Amino acid sequence: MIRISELLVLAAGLMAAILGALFIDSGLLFLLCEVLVIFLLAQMWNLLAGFSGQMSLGHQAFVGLGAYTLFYIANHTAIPLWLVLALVPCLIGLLAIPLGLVMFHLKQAYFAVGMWVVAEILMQLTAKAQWLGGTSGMTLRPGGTMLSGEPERPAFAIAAFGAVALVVALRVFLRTRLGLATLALRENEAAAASAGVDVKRLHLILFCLTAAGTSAAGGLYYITSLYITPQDAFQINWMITMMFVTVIGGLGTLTGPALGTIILIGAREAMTAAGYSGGQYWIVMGAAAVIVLLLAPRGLWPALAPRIRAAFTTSTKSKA
Amino acid sequence: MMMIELLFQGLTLGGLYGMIGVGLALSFGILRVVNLAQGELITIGAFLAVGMISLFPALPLALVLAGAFLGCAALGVAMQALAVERAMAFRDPMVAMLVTFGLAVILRNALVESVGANLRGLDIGGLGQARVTFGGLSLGLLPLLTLGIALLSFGGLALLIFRTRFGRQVRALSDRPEIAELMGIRIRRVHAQVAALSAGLAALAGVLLAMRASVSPFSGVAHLLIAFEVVVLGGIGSIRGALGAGLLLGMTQVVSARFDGNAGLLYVHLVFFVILVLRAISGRLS
Repeated sequence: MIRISELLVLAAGLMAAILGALFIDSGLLFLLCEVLVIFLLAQMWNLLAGFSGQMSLGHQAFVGLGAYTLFYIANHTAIPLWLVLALVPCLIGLLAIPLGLVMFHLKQAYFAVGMWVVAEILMQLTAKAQWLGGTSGMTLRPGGTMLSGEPERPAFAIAAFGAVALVVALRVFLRTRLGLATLALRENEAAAASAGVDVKRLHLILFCLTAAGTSAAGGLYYITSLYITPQDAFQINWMITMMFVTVIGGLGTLTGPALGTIILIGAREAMTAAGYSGGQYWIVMGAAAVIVLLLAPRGLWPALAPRIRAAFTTSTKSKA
Repeated sequence: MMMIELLFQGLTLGGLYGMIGVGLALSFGILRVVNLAQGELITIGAFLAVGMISLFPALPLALVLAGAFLGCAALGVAMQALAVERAMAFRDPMVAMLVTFGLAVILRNALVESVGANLRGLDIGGLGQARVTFGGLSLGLLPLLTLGIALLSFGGLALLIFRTRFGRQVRALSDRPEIAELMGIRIRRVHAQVAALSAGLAALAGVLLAMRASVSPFSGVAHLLIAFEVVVLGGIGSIRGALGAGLLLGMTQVVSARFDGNAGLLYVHLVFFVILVLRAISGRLS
């Protein structure tokens, strides 16, 4: 079960989240919110692609579904906004069950691009749905009134604590029976199946969990932007970001997506400050992803971690 | 009359969709890599043609097609040799697919940076309006030409794969790569040739698509998804299947555009998804 050290990390994460929400200035909070949302999204994609071996190229579908579900329920009912945010992942997680049952008939690359088609269908259906604002989108007006105060402050607190809690929860999860089965699945699907792991069931569980997590992160992001359109919420750039962060940082590790998020956002901020365009940024990131894949297909963290550990042990040994 | 016009349009668009699909099926069947940059190659083929026409307005269509084919084939070989071939060496087949995803992002944004994000059409002069009459039936010359080129490409590909030494090597490689290598087939060279052929087919389809409707650097995603749907519905390695699936989707697109003008590819995707669900329910899915 959960260890003392992990409880301490959770407590520290909660403290940092509350203090950050209270004292960091608003502009920086927006950036941090985005960073944390990207980390959460990448970690979800990583759980599915890196651990479960199901690579989806359509997870932007759940970003859009989560955000639209949140906007619609918040605008049309009296349920408090933050309660809706908790409700959204439950709804989308349930919705993912029938979707997963159909999509798992497609294997590997077929599954990946099939999910992409699903995301595209959802984007165009949303654009046609006048009750969702059609192509011009929707503004967040919980209970019919504009959101008052600074939504980025509670959003940051939730995202920051969510990120810490997610990593702790995944560590705990990977020690459970189901988690060990997931690790076995990551190493070798056929061997895991022959050792008694119900691969199909595990795939479906992980698919629904990641759908739920992705929708929550998407909802959180669009609370801070207050406005949503189908073109934005279902855009392929969500998917590209999740994939590049995970692939560059490290597939199938918990630290990888954190490293990848820092690299991607760091590069974006540096390149924007230096006057490069968005297109040039994506060219550089695409090249980085291709090079990392060719040199270290599991990503930077799995390639670097043993060397960092080795450097630490030799330096402590030489001191002693 | 309207029905015949509609059928004819669906037939030409379907031929094009089949062409897009067969390029993807070729690289998937032989290289075992889903080339996610295929949509970008189609778009680049279209933009090569736009560039050639704006430089030399009097260039004959055959030369434009040849130029786009060669340009994209060279790009395809470069991508295969520099990145994809190396990625194929890894045990996990998904690595190569992710590499092509990265390449697609690079190509798309390079295209935006160099030609801008605007929609472009291919200016083909009077060809767009010209019509020919068969026994009281008036058909557009351009769609007729498009259909002809598409069918020629299919026929040429079938001849190449089933009647030549190169085709025999390709089929051998597709069936048993290890044994093909033992028999002295130079695998990397055949891989590069297949990548060139697949990219060239993409370019031809791109030029023909740009004559029908304008393209933007962001059209690649839509093209890739159509290509993928054609491959899934038609089956890998089946040229006839690709043609049939292309026709189904092309017909869907033309008919749905008649009833709902601004739906884009929604109905095409929906038809694909419904067939997928039906296949899943009946368990007829490989």
